[in-house]
Amino acid sequence: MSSILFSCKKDDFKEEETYIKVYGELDGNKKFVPLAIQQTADGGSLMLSAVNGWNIFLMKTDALGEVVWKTDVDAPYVSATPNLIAANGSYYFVCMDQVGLFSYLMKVDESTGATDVVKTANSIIYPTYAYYDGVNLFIQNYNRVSNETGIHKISSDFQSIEQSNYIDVMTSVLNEMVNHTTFSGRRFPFFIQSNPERTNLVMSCFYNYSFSLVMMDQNLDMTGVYNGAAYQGGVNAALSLGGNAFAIAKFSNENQYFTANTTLDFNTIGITANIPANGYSELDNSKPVVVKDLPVDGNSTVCMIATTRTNQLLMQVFDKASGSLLGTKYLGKNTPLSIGDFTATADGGALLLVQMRVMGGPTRLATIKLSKKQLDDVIGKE
Amino acid sequence: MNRKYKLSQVLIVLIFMFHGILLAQNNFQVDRKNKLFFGVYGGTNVTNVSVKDSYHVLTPTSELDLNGSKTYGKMFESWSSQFGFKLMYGFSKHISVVVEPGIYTKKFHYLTNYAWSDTIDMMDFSKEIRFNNNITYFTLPLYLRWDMLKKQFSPYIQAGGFFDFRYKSQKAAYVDGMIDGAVDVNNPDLLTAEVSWNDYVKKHQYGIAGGLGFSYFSKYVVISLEVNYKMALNPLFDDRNRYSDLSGFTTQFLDVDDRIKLGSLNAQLSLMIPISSMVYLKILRRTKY
Repeated sequence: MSSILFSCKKDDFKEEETYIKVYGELDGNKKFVPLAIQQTADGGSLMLSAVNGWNIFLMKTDALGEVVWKTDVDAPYVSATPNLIAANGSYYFVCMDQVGLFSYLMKVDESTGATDVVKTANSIIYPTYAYYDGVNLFIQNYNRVSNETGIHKISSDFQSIEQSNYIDVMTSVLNEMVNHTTFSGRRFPFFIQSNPERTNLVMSCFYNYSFSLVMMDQNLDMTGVYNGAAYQGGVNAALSLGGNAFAIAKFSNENQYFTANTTLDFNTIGITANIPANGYSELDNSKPVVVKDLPVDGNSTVCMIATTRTNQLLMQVFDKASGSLLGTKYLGKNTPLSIGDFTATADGGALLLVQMRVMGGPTRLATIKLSKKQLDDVIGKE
Repeated sequence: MNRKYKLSQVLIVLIFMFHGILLAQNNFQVDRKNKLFFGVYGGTNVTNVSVKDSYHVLTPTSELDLNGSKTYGKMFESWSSQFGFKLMYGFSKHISVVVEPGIYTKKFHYLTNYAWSDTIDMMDFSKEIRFNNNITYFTLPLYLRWDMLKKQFSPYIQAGGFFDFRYKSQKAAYVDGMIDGAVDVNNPDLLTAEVSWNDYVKKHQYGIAGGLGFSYFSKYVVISLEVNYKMALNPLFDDRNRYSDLSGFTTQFLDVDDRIKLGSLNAQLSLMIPISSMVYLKILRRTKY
């Protein structure tokens, strides 16, 4: 009798809670690299990707993951930084032009997919990363003439450059930059991260013959550095937990490390190898590592998603205060997956943007929507 | 088609056989009232798939992209079997209640294909995949049966419902590289993956059922041949786990289950013995009663 009654129970499951969508493309030659994803107000998503090298591809989906529109951004705009900035109710990304290499801040029309230039920055060439702290936009770039890494603070109305600073790379990394920006070789994990108090910034960039984690104050003056091991060791992701506490993902040669809670000395001159972290022998450090804040079961947690050497995704959730591991989930079994980005969703779930090799054939963009219940299951909540 | 034709031939032969028996045994009436019968049954079935909602993993970005559409197999392409025990209790000379607990296996399949052309590097891609679903239930059908005649040979109709408990389910994927509407499931090289599908199939199925048949009541045994149709009222697959990719099929084959309901047409033979009195059965009475 209980079985009969149980089977008659009304299910409140909604289809938008969980799905996997692979975005088809009739042209078998097209190769996609996912860069960034944001959930939009309608429950859908906006995705930024690179296609066939450094060309820019935008796509909007609905709450069920179905395509609403897609846009190939026209020349001369290429090489978008891996960031979709949500600010003032609109979405933006930073890219460059393929001739002058100047930086552009582009605004995306969410309803049509049209893009408009909001700000042109001729003084910023080879943009590598864009970061929005809720008030100001920061752009990191590489100056190939002076062999310097630059960081620029853009005003809150996105119309002027308020502050700039440069740090010396000491050597030319033009080859590395060309491979990175054209998506034809190694991609470097450039990033900028600010603490919530906005007193300090950390920036992963080229500095002093190496790929290093540079610390700056609110005036963009360099205060300290954790030097990488040439270009074979460094920090590939960081999440500020407040003050000088960070979750750090770092790499060294072929090894990947992660810690969900450690403290950085903003005034030190040190090496990234000395940042305490746990080794993950199964992770492929040539693929992106994404570390973000993710609400699970109503609590703020640190979520790290990376790609294993067997081309699965490893998702780990950590307690923010203690850094202890709360749960682990593997995504994908027999199909190569590579994480591009993820975001928390309004329904308590998570939306992942991945690159997938379809049945051993072409690479395609895919989204994986995890429901709140699936995230609760990761941390073992009943 | 051949199997359907053979089934028809078997049925015709059986009807002629019983017709002769009917003519020879028309001096007796059958008293089913307050009598209990117990026996076994076995038979074969085919499954009909009714698609309520379609789902897909591959989302087309162009109206011309038809990759991933499913083509379900026809009803008589996948045969399976059922067997179990049969219990019948007669409320009156014509009305009985019948319970048939047993094992019931349902099978169905569908085809899907993907193709991309590469006009630059000439790296064209094509795959055709056949998915075979196989679900075994503990079944509990319950019928109200009406025997039309009181004679030894009696046609009957029955109607009722069923409740199935999932025992196990499996799904197999056969892949070949040519899109021609067929994948050879007899070629073991094409079997790419076979996994348990328990996490996707609901634990219970319930529905309505009905059928018709004929029985022959001899002094010690009852032989029946019947055809029934079972129609499930709840969908087969669990909506929550549809995209969970617990099996790996979702990302490997871009496969997710549609929301479907199954219908099943079965034919079965049963043998029963009365168990009310084993010594002096008193089942058969002369026509004067």
